[in-house]
Amino acid sequence: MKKSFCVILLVAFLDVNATKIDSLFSQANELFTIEQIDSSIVLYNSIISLGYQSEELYFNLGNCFYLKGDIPKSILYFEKSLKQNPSNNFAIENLQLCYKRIVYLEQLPSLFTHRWWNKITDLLSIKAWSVTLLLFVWLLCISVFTFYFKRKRSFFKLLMVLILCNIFTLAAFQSKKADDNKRYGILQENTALHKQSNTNNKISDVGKGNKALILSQKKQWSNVRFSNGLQGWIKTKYLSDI
Amino acid sequence: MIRILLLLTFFSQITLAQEFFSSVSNKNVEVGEEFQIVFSANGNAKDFKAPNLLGLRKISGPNKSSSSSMEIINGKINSSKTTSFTYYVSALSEGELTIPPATVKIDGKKFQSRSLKINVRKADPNKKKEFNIADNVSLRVEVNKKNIFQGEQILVCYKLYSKINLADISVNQLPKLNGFWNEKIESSSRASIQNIDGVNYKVWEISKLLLTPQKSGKLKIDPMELSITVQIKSKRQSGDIFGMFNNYKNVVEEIKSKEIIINVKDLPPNPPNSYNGAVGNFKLNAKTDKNSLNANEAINYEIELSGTGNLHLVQKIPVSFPEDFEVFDPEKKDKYFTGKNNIKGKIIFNYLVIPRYQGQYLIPEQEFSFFNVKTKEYQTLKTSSINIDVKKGKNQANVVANSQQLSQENEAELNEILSSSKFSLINKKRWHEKWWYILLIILPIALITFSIVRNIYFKFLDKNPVDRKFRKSLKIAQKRLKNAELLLKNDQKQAFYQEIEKSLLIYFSQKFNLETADLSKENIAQIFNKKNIDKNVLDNYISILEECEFCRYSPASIENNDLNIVYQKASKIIIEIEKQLK
Repeated sequence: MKKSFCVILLVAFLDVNATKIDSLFSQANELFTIEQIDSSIVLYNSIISLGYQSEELYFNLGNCFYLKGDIPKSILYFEKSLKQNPSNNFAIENLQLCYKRIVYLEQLPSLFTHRWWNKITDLLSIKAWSVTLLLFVWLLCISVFTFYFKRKRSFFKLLMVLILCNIFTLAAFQSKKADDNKRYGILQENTALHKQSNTNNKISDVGKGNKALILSQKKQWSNVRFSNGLQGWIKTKYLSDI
Repeated sequence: MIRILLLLTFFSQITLAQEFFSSVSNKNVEVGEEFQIVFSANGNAKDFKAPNLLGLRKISGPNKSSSSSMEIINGKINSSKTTSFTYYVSALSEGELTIPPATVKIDGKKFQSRSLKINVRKADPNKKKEFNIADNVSLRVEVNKKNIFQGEQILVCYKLYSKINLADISVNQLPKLNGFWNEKIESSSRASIQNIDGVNYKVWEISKLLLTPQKSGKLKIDPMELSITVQIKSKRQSGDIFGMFNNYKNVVEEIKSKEIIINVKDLPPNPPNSYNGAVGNFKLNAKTDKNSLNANEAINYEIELSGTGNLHLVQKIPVSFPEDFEVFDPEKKDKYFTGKNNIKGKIIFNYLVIPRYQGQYLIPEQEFSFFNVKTKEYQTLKTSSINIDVKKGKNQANVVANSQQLSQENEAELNEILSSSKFSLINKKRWHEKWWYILLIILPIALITFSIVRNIYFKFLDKNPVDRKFRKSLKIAQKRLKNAELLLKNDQKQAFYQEIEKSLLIYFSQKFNLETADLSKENIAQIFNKKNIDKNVLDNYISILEECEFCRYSPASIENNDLNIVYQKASKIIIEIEKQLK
């Protein structure tokens, strides 16, 4: 009784918040259309500070910063939007526009098998992969049961296929999960890439707006790798997490 | 060293009887006079523990030395060894002074020396010193300027002048230079010779410092304290007969420089906007490595500040570039070298700049202001502006327009904002991180594994047919009993009795691995005895079997009432046997 009451309360609370956030979002959009970009950014950010996010919210923020001329920030928000939904074509197109206006580091060409695999894993979102995995696991278990206990020998081929399916889905899910756990950051300022933290031995300069994979972090320094394969330390304050 | 040896031989003659003793070379000393304390032991001394030499200044020690001697008297060999520890000390203040005992271990035994008393006199000023330090040695501070502006540098040099040879110089106290930023300049440790008023002086540069005052007002340059060791010939004749050895004596003297006050003036008011605290005399220069290039290529813009003054305090020269240039953090290179009385040097800031778009650009003049010490005015330096011609490179899209045009163009292409959205909580757990998802994955796998393992386990158990029969007997009996129950319901009395009988017989045959034919009453009784089963059960069992037999052949006598009882009895027997067999 108590539990259900709590649940009802929670749902009601969430609902109130949801309507509030929807109105905030539409207000911000209106402000954007009348070119009050600064205030619309404030409104968008207030939604985030309330603890909510969505791909559209980040996409709109990216547009705001693009129009303000703050390209690195705009890249940051487009990337955040893509993290919510990797197949958001609007964000992908706008991101391409952003890349034209920064010193974009060319991506290191990856091995074709790697590319193919990435294409396959990108077919489904992580949620979809997890559902598929669940489905296949159940199917496999049921067919093993029938094969083993009901002595249906004809199930053998089906069983083999299901095992392969399971292995494949598990691999795809795991690599997707690993990708999901990777931390990326967008460089907000032009800065120097150092060989070691706290020292002055520079490897090269990197331009703002580039995406870096964060490998490890100390207090003020982050060990990062850029898409062109450069790896080194930069100051954490120049880096914004996606 | 010679003296020590002499002393040792002297002591060793008189102290043969004693094991460990202490002595001083002079019991009446003046303040500051050098004397010796010797602790010597007969035999191989170990673990020497020094006394606390309070009120004494240790010059050197403990110096361990040992000597051994061998005597042959009337063919009798007598050898001895002496170990001694010597201190060279001088008294710090007048009065009576006690030297506490020292301890030592000789051949494993612990010995303690006697404590000694010495009398320290006041140093006699009238008594002509063997050597007057002030006449011969002096420590001077040389400063190149005494009236300076804040930020202007002065060179301070501590120099030691001496007419005589000095055995040792050590710094007792370095000057605390409060209010100054100081940089040490390397000075040669070798003495140079300087002729002053016809006398040759040896001159040592003890320390050379470049000071930059950090605040205005009267700033003090603290004195430096040195202790120097002078070797002088002792007037007292030494004990050696030949007079071959000059007897030298080390005298340690302390010497102090004078304190100097520097007058630091404030800088004049109203500095120019680009003033950043630089004081001195500088030149500013800027250049690029090329003047024409393709878009998206890099230029090096170098701005160089050179001259004398507080260069090391210049952190940055602000530089402005055209808006469409990508500017990277400058690389700072600096070179300093110290002249006679100032720091000369240069700082180079190297900017890596990448023009993004085609066009004619101008890197504007850069300004740098400083306070000129000579003219006593602020001075602003300007670099010349540099023209950069950016061409359209090969295979370069997007470089034709400058950034403003480009951004307008792009705005048109930019995808419009999205008006509706579904929001989710930011810290929401991912689907695959939820507990019920993990449970749903694990559950079927666990179930299937469990059942397969269970199956395999039972198959393994069933390998022995006797065991299998034993385990399955109950099941078959139960099945038969159920059949019997059905027959009871359908009122097939004869079949019912048959079923009951069979169930019991088969149950036994399988349980005890016997042929059904062997199940005579005697056999059963034997087995029951073997397995320690109650006699009651046996009786019941036999009575049921008899009843069944009887009823099979005379079905007319059966009453419905009995059937239920028989059925219950039969099942009871099986349960009972199962229980007792466990």
